[in-house]
Formats: sequence, C-alpha cells, structure tokens
Amino acid sequence: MSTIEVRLDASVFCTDTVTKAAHRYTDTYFVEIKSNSADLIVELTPKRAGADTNQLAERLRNDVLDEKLRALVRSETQDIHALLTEAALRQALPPKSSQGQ
Amino acid sequence: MKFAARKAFVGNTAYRLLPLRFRRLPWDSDRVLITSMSGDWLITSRNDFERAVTGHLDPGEPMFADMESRFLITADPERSTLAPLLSQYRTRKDYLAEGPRLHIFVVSLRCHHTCAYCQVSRQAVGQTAFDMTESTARHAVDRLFDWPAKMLTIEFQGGEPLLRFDRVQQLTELIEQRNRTEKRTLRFVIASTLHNLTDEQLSFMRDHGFELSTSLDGPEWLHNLNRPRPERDSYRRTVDGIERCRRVLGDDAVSALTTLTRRSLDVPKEIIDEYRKLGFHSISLRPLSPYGFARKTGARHGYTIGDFLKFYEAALDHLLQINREGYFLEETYTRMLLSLLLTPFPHGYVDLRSPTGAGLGAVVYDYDGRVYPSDEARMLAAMGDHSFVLGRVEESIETWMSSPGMQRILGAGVAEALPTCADCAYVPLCGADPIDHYARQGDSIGHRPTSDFCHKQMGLFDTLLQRWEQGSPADRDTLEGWALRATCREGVLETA
Repeated sequence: MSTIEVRLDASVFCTDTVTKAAHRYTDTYFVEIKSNSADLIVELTPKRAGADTNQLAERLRNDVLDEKLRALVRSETQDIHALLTEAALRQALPPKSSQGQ
Repeated sequence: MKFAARKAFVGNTAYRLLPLRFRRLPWDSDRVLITSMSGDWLITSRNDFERAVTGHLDPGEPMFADMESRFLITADPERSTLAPLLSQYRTRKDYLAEGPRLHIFVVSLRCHHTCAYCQVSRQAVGQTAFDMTESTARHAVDRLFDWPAKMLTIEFQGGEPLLRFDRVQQLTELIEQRNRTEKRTLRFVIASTLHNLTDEQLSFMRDHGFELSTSLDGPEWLHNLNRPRPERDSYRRTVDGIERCRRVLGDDAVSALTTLTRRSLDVPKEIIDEYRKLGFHSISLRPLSPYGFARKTGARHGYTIGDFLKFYEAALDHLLQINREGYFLEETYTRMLLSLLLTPFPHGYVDLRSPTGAGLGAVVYDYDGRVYPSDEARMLAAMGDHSFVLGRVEESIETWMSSPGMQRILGAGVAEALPTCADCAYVPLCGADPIDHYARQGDSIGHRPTSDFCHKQMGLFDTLLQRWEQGSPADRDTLEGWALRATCREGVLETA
C-alpha cells in the first residue's frame, strides 16, 4: 500500500506538536516522523486496504494546527489548572477507619 | 442623571485563558466545541476561538461575555472570582468525597441459564460450592460499614441471586441491624432473571424496599435466542416475573437491561417497541463486554463499535419518534450523558468517572471472599487473570487500597492525565476505565486511537450534541427532559 508523505515547515511547527497530531492516525496508519533542516516529514502508510485516504494530508495539516493551538492554551493555563484542581478537591475525605489516627 | 459611559464599566481589557479544551465538530469542521475544566461548554467558529486563544478578543463583543461566563477566560482579576469555577468542578467530582457508594454482593455463581454472551463465569444449579458462606457474608458487612459514604447502595448479584435468597435475606438483615447505629441511607437492589420468584421472596423485597434489575433482550424470539433454557421459555418466565414484581412492588420497582448481540443490531425498533408494549419508560441498550463467556463466543456474537453506533442512531431516532407520539421512553445511558452535557450535576455511574470508579466508587464482594474494584475485575479473575484483586473480606480496606491491583488502577485512572484524553474536549464529562482497557488492549492505560471505550464515548457524545444542536424543538425538549430527569434517577445507572 502506498505511503502518503506530508511535509510541515519545521520553523512553524515543533516536533511535539506534529507527533501529537500524527498519533491520532495510528488506528488506521503506520506512522513515521522524520526531519531535515527545513521540514518535519510525516509518512502515513495504511495498515489495511480500503483505508480512507480522502484529503488525508489536509486533515493532518488541520490537526497539526489544532495541536499548535492546544500547546498555546497549555502553556498559558497549566499552572492555574493544577492550582484549581488541588483547591477544589482538597476536601475529599479519608476512609472512616483512618480518621483520628 | 445619566449613566456613565460604557467604558467606565469595563475594567482592565486584558484577559487570561482558563484551562480549556476544544474539538472540531465532525459535522462542521469550521466550528469547535470548547469545554471548561468543569465541563461547561460553548460552540463557536474556529476562527473566533483562535482569536480568543491568541489574545484578540474585544471585551465589548458577545463572545467575550460568553467565554467569561463559562469560565473559559477570566477578565480583570480585581473584578473577577474563580470561586464559582471551583464550586462547579467540586460538584462534578462530588462522587470522590465519600468513597464507594455501590457495594455488590455476589451471593452465588450458580445460574439456570446458559447465555452465550454471559459476562460472568456461571456455574450449574447444583454446584453449591460456588455460594457465599455465612462467614464471608458477615465479614463483608463489617467492611461495608468501614467505608465513609453516607449513602450505600447494596446490590445482590450472581449468577442468579434468587438461588441463594436465604443469604440475600441474611445479608439484608445484618446490614439493617448494623445500620441502626450507623444511620446511613441504604438502598437495596437485586439483579435477577426473576424466574422462579416466590411470594415469600417478593414479600421480603417489598418489606425492605428492594429495586429489581432484570435482563430483557427484546422480543420473544430474540430474548430466547440470547438467553437459552432447555424449555425455551426464558422470555415468558422473565415477563411473568416482571408482572408479578410490579403487582407487589409497584410499576417503577423493576428496570431492565438489554444486552445487544449481533442479531440485536438488526432490530432496534423491535427491541424498543417490546419495552413500550410491556409498559417500561426506560430502556438500557448495552453493548457486549469482552469478558467471561462473551469473549469465548465473541466471533459469533460480536460486532464493532461502529456497528453499535449505527444501531444507536437508529434506536435514538425511534425513541424520539415514540416520545413525539406522547409516550415517555428514555435510554438510560443517553440520559446520563445528556445530564453531563446539559446540567452541572454529578452522576452516579461508576464506569464513567475520573478518577475511575473502580475501587473508588464501587466494591465487589465475591462469593469466595475475594474483593474486587469492579464487576469487570471479578470477571477477569474468573478467566484466570487476578491482576485487579484487592484482597479478601477479612482484610482491612486500607490493605485493599494499597494493593498492587488498586495501585495499577490508580496509575491509569485519571482521564485528564491519559494520553489523548488529556486534550479531549469531552474529558470533563467522561471517565477513565483502566480495567476495560486492560481487558481489551492488554494495557490499563490503553491506546486511544484504537480504543473501543473511546470510540463509543466520542461517538455517543458527538451524536447527542449534534441532535441537540440541530434537532427540532420537540426533540430538544425530549433530550433536555431526559437530562433533567437524570438528576433524580441516578441510582439505577449504578447497577448497569
């Protein structure tokens, strides 16, 4: 089965972002990620005949853009996320037989 | 006197993002679903969302207020508080506060059915060695009250628990006796075929406020095919049992579950119409699980989650049609998912929690004194895999919680920390199911792109969100009605 190659500008997208997007395709495709000085290259090879390859490269490019946006959100919110979670759940009770020990 | 100019009411125009996740809508890839950490959400264009993330929202535009009110962004910190977000989040995770509320007592593995898809390892009717002993029962009751939950659901399961009804009676009386000093709120449920039900058993259940959960797989031909007995009378016996229970315990005392085999997927309307014919107002459409006899016969009875989702869409269409005709009939899992989407309330369903409900929301006391964090863990043990056994009823609950099985569950039990789930827009409404992933994929963390659990959840959430957004006013009313009803009918789902 033929491999589909998608090239992404390495100055725009980081490896982590591209890897996260490509991981979503591992149900249907074997995935390989390579790099050279200018590009990150994602190779998608269908695991089985009949895999849906319609607009595959376009879908992956959109998913990479979404992952980049997620990375932006994560970098701005991960600290407050941890603080809020801890503050909200601090009251969970221990088992009854541990109380007072 | 004039009001001050609009800008006088606007503080610092800068804002900061709050924790959020998003997903492109499968039916409209130019728009996204955005969810807050507590599961509040909105749908907007992807372009507007990108403007929000990159700091280009104007405080005067409606999108700004929408995102602020849902705690997706926070504006001027001198005029804002995050206390409501903490309260929302704490409410969503309310099930964590008291530990397990669902306690399953397996009084016997014996059963008179030979269902090919049986999730448990049933034993023949004469095999009394597979019954719970009195000593095990007494220890299990002691452990039950070691947990701090103010509300305890006690579910009797088998096999067929009616085959050891004397043990059910003894456990019930022991628990009620102990509760005279404990003062917990008790709820008794029995999961049974309802065959061979006696008047004395019914009287006992009535006197102790039992709810009954049975299995009804659809019309007579399908039920008898799925649940064979030598006399081929499984359907008739179950329907007789339902009618007798209703006469004694009331119309709402019996709920029924449908286990879906390959043959079931061809007849969604027939299955639903059977429930309507029998006067049910709820139905549970439950796909096959990969445990027990169900795994051995998987090739014959199994199907893909894609097949199930097609069935589900057809079933949902038919259910909405029936409701439009004026007959109230809901699907219980749908009701729970809609409740998560459309209300801020928590739920009681142990398979859809994060941290996982296994061991933290439910405990199973098996007939032989072993203790498990879920029925699925018990089924795995019956298949020879004891990875998730917590311990024995003679041991302390602290020993169970520090057992290797529980540690393995906890290590994979927080959905917000799992690969792919961590970024999923549905994760505030979803759960972690490490035992299911272990059973299906051999790894308690699991691989989401090939996860049946994930495909099912994503498919159901997408379907319901689309139906709610694009449905007729009448269908929206029906779906919202199910969601609101869920807030007072949680308990039934715990037994699903």
